[in-house]
Amino acid sequence: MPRTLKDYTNTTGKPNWCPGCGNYGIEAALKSAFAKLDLDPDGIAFVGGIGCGGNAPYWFSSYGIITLHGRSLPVATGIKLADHKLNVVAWAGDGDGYGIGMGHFIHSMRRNANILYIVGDNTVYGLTKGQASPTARKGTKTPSTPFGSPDPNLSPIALALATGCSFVARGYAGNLPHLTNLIMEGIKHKGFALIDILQPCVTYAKDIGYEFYQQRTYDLAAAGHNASDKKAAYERLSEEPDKFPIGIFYKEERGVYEDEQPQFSSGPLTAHDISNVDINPVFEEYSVG
Amino acid sequence: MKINDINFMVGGIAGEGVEVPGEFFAKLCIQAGLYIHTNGEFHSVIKGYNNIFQVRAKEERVYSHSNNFDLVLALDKETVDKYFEDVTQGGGIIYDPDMAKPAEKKGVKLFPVPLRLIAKEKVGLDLAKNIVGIGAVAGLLDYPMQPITDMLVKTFARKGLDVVNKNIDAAQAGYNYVRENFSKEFDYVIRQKKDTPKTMMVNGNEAIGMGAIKAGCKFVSEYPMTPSSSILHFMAKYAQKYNMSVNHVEDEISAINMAIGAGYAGVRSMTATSGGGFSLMTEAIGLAGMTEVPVVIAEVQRPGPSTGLPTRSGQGDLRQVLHASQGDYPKIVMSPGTHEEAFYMAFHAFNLAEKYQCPVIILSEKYLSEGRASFEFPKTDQLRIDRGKLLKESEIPANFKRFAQSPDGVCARTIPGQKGGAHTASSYEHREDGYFTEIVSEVVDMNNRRMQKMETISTKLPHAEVEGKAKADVTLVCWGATYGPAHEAIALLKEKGVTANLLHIKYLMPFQPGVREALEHCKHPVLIEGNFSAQLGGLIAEKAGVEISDKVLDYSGRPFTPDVIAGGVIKLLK
Repeated sequence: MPRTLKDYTNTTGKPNWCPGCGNYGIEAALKSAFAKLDLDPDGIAFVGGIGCGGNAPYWFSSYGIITLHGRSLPVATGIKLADHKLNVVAWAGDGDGYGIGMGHFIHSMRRNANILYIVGDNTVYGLTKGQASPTARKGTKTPSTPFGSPDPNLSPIALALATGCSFVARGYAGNLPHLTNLIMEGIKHKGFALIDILQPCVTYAKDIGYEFYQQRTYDLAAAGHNASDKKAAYERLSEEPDKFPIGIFYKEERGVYEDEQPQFSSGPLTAHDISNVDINPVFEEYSVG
Repeated sequence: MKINDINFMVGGIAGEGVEVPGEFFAKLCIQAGLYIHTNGEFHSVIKGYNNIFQVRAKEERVYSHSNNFDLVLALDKETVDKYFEDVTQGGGIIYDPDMAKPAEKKGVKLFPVPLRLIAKEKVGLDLAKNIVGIGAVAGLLDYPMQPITDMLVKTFARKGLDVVNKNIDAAQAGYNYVRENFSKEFDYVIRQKKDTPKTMMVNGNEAIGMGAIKAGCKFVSEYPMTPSSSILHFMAKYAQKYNMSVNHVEDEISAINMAIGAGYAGVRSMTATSGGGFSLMTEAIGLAGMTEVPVVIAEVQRPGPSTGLPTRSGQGDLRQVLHASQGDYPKIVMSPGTHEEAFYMAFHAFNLAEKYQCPVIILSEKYLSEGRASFEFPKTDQLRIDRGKLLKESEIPANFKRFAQSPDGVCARTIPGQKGGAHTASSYEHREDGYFTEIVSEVVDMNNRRMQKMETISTKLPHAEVEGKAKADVTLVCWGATYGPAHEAIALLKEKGVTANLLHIKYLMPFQPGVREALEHCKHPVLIEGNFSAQLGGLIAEKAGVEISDKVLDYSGRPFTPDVIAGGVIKLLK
């Protein structure tokens, strides 16, 4: 029997996000993508950062680990390298992933381990009551920026393109079929896949809600964008903030971190026999004479 | 004549190959059947400044370096100026008369050798003066030239026959020069022993790495930081031979979090750093404690605070390691005293991490980690892998609860990929099934269960034992690599009519059992520590209820020597 959303749902409790939160859309799209790809829930390692979305593993039936603020990617990378047969998905927020966790983001893109990284991008720190995140536009008034944010917003897509990310995409939490498809593409992609997800925060970023994005998002593929053309991808970004294209900006096949190392060729490291490792050859190398 | 007992030092300018003669000398001694112990004192620069490399060698196992030199090879003027006064009576110094002129000192032999001139003549390069020096050292010690020739062939083979031959010529010229000019003038000789023990020469970091490999470590993520970096280098070197994933990552925060990810996914994982990097890791160490993920962290101390003295040694990080990260959570902190112990402790660290599902910290210091010793191969027959309560798939019960209550505090563990074992491991407080909770009784129960692990571990730790005579005038109390010089200080104290024994505390957290009982039988404990605030002393007072008022503390950035300890103790006794 094909798997359904239920197979990926932990019924212990229900998500505690605000009614109308974009996270519900992301949660549903993730589960749909898992079901459509018929992934074994026990073969998924789901890594959460800290933020509203970071709690998502509680409500999934897969293996999950809720980490520290900003640290979902290194934990996800460690999991992937320990057992590269697992489907590893990390879910961070924009403060989590593009603020405190920025260093790991950049180096994860360079490293290109086979991980799906989704970032719920709502321009605010929701869990700490609405401060401006790195993707908030200059002038945004929040409790931490009462006179308007002095910093211009960061473009995660431009950054990913410049850093050599092998799969650069943007989804919208209000467009489930599109997002589901995008997540499936991200999972299928061999290498590090970034999906930045435009996500209304109905509590702290009321100005950029569903209506805002409904009017401004459009599908890149439908608009004829060539996802292997990096220059065209950059050009699409110049349409912001009038238009927010969604879909795959750029995609390329290149060497995957774990696939290029012979250590992984004899199966996941977790399956290696460690019961009697012979260290004597090393002793011999360090003996003199 | 003094046979097979010598303390050698070579000094020169950083970047001029100061370590090379030191290594050659150490290997030469080991080949002759001796044991060695080395220490390097380097400035935190790549080129320039005076560096020294010291090697003690004798027929018995050596545990410590010493700053009284029987033979000095001075490759620069500063070595002569700074260390001539530390040459022992009956000892000697090889120096280049074009560079320096030591003052006459009664009982110290001067061996002027035109190192640079010979180097220029034989190799065409001033820098080869260190090779000339090696030859001179072997000649003075009345040791055959052949072993040096063999080592030069090995060292320079990849640079081609011409380079090999030039270096052999240089060493031979240095050898001949001292044989012609100072024949039989030096009291110290090295003689090939008949029965040579089979030993290896490693530094503490390599010993830790070997223990980790033997323990089945499969994952290493590290960011370089002196003096811990050679753990990364060592593990990287063996990554493919032992099928380990060894990763030089973007920072220490990533290093520890990746190691935690790998540990959570079910492989034995480790990271290593020094005090500064450890500061960055502290938040994640709490994450490992909370999510009950096994992970091993080697913290190799250098003196702080802040950037401090990057290339020197100290024991100032005990408190930071003990108190790392917010809240109460189980954690094991251990500190090896010798290179062998570093190997065994590293092996056991991985067992302990999995048995008790918590972070385990191996607290080392530059002195042990970068200093080398030679010793017999560790015995590995008895070393068994113990993965604790890690379940096989067939053992996973229905309605598995990852964080279930358990009398010893340790719960059954599953890893991603196993059918029926899925759960969320959360950094938030959680229930037995992993789901978050803020309910008072659940929060209290979970804290109790986690901390019960500390009680359980305590009962399994070996008791602290006094080494040496049961009754002694003083008991030297120490931790970490201070063990070596303290161990050797006992003989020096005996020469001064003071009997001493030694209490080396190996487990700092949970605090090693038996310390109170051991100290109760000690007449006069003296604390020996490489920090300002007597951090172990405070811990002993807290955990064992014993205040040790007499202390020998050193925070100069230099490791203790046996005579500094002995001298400090004698001063206290007066």
